[in-house]
Amino acid sequence: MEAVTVPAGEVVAGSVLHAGRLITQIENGRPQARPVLRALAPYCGRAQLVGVTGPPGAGKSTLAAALIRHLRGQGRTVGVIAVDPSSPFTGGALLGDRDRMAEAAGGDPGVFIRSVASRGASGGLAAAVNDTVDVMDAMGKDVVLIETVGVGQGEFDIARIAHTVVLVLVPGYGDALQAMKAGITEIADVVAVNKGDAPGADQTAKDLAAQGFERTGPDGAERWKVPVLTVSALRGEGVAELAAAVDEHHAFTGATAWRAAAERARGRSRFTAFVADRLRGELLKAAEETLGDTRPADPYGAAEAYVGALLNAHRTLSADIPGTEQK
Amino acid sequence: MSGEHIKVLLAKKKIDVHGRGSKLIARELRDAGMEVVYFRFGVVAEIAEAALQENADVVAVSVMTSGQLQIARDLIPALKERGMTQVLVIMGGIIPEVDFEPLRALGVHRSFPPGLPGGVVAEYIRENVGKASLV
Repeated sequence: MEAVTVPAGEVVAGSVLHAGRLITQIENGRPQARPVLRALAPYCGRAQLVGVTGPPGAGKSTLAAALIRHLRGQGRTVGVIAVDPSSPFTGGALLGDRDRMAEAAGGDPGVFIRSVASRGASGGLAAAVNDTVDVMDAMGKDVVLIETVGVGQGEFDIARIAHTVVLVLVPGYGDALQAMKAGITEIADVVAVNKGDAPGADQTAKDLAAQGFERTGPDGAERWKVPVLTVSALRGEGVAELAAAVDEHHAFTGATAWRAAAERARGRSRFTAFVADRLRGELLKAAEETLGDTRPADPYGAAEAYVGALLNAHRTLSADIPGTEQK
Repeated sequence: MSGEHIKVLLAKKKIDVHGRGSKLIARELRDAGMEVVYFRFGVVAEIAEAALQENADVVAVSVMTSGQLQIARDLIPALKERGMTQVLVIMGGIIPEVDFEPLRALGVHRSFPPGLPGGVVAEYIRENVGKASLV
């Protein structure tokens, strides 16, 4: 629970002890983590980021385990960030994803699995997962898998960190309308119908494929046809094909304007998250202190005036935000 | 992110098919506000590696089919080797009380018999986490 500054060099050298501690500091929002993350930045940007999302019980962890085994077979090192929900009542969490993946990892130094509790805060969680991705990236992991429960906006924010989002569905999930209303068709780059060994899997895959899901690139030019694959994570069937589809999507976005746009968006959202975090913590606290014991007669008006004054101060501060690249 | 939570790695032997005890403890600790990583291990090195990756504050091992002394003999050095010298190590399950002292001598901070009233383990963890060292 102590919060000493973690040596960045040790993390880059692959020390799991130091990386593990740094991730805890990130989760706890410790300021000690900030300079370390900055020091790691030059070593980031090499890992392939793959999101695995889908409804509870779809077999995401088991599928992730199968993917880990496949990637290791190709000689690629893997980092895994497995997010499970915290109890909104006690704040506690039961993190069970590692159990499903332990077999695939089994003491293999090429695999680093970290279980993360959602802790209820969606925006904060996305920022923490972003930073944890950087830690694993800087450690030199070739692929970072991000596994989340695909329900709710906050989870989608996390999935968007990934270069490729694999949506895991199961037979009997519901018809295509169900998939569309959940908003998931807008985030999936590859759809995997898991439990391919169960009855109805082929029909489900066929139904989904018939929808002809497509993703449109940032400039509206390139289109990506979302492949729908049937897999059985349990039996290891279709896993190689799924991994190939993920790599194909990664190569496709890398060769087009998609990746650059995604990286820009990620950079922007991280900037916003950092700023929001510090403003909430520090600026708001300062404002409250200034307020002291006084009670504004018109809280709404006072807040409006305060924010107006802040925005004015921002305008006079500078035309550009320091440290950003010019277009 | 909201607050800090005690992170517990709760490991159960894969060969122990009865998981009721370990699941009960997992739930108790979760309800006490802790973040519990539940997993089944084959060999002891897997516990140490998982504790390292998760940066666990507590390593809890559930044992039903004996072997606790050998687990402790392997686990404590494996944790120390990896630099996890501040972690709190506890055991529980079907462990005869005559083993409690030998387990302590091997470095296990505390062992718990079955049938304790709810909350005992969580309370012990809360009072001792962060203060332990592996000698």
